[in-house]
Amino acid sequence: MPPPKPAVSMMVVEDEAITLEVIAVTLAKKYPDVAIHKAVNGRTGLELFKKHSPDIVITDINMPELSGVQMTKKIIEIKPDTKFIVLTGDNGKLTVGDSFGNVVEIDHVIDKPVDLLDLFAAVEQCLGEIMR
Amino acid sequence: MVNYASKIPVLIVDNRPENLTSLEAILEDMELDLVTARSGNDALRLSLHTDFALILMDVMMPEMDGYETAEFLRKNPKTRELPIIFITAGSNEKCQIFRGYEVGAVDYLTKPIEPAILRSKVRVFCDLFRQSRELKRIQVKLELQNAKLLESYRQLEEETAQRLRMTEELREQEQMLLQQSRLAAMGEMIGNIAHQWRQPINTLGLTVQQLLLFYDMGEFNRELLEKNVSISKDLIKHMSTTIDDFRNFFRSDKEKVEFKVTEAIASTMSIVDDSFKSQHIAVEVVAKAEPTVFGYHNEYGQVLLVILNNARDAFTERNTESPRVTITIGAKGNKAVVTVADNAGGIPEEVMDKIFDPYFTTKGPQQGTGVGLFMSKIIIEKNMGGRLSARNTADGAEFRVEV
Repeated sequence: MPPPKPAVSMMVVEDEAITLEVIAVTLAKKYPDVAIHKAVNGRTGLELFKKHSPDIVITDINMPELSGVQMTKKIIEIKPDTKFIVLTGDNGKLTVGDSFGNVVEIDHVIDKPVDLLDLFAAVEQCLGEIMR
Repeated sequence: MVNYASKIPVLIVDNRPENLTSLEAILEDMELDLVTARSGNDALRLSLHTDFALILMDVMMPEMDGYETAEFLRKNPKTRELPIIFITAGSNEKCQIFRGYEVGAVDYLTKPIEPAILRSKVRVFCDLFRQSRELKRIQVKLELQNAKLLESYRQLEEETAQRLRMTEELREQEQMLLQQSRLAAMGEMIGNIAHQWRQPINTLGLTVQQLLLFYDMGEFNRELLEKNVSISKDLIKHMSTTIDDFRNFFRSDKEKVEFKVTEAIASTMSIVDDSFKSQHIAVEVVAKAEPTVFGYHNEYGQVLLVILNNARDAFTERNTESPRVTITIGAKGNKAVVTVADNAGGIPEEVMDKIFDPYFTTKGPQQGTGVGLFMSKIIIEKNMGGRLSARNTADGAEFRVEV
């Protein structure tokens, strides 16, 4: 019997409490086989990443104590093939492109206000790639 | 040219040369320019050339006597006023004398002439002539001065008209700037509202979407519904309050009122609160005193808003690590002093003296209108008689509002 595949896990990093809660709870219900980790800022997000090594990181850009950008750069150094879904409230894709420069490849950018269906589509696309 | 010290011209008319000589002798050392004529015609000719102080004229002359000559002199406007003293050898018959005065003689002398008397009379007319010459000189001078004064007056009139025009232009420009600053303020306000609403709208959207999703997954229950409705109501209330706050904040002041500085700061903070929070800018308000201001309440708040928004933009631009703003409220004498200090790194020295200029901005054309600080200065200094200044501290800029 082949060894069981390691469980896929996701991390949601968002400093607005209600938003974090709704996204995390909804994702947990939608993808019951995926472990969901929550962090309220870049710093705890990085610590959490080091501990659980999630495959997908869903993160807001604008956060205190290590912004979404800085956290992302550090995570890439640790595990380069991590999937990133970025949630942004300012001008969408343009800002993200400039913030990240060419260092980081963002898999998906989702504009706020977040449409959960878009989020699900992004997550499923990432899961698809991971499973392969 | 007329020279005060020059000799006075006097004309002596007699057909007999010996009479001329004796008159000359009598008037010898009187500083006179004595001119002689042997006939009435000569006298007329000479008087047209020279402005004489006096004519001593013999009555008895062949061809044209003294009276006839005098008549001619009277007829000519140039010589009309010429003083004539007749010298006569004849009797003092009254009809003769009357004739003389009729033709304009000022005096009569009979021969033999008493030298002292003649000199005395001549002196009188010489003095008159000298004074008249002096008067004429002064008159010319006065006319010149008058002309100059008129010219200066005309120039002043022109200058004043020009200055009035410039003042009018300046006032028009100021009106335009005021209008622009209002538009810019409205733009800022819309930007601020966008900031304020971004997060609540996102959260509201997620809250609502969750209901349908959970229903489809069979996880829907009253508890979830109740919780999400409660959250939604709060968010909606918050967004509505934002609108009210903004509307009140930007309403233009009709009149000066007495207000507490702490309150004005609180109302400004309610405008920027969310956008500051979303950028994790820490704000600390230190109240060393509780001063009040008599002035335009909303405009005062708008000035604080400009300063705070500038600090926020600087933090964004420079990616400051732990952005913080400290607002200190104090009093100096009867003035309320508010300082807003940030740690955004400070204003570059080379632009420090331009920051209050109109249209000056260090932000790009999309962000900066260059009107904010300029209008703030006008509001504080011109409308409220206070002072607005800026300086750099160790880690950032500090704006000081004194009203």
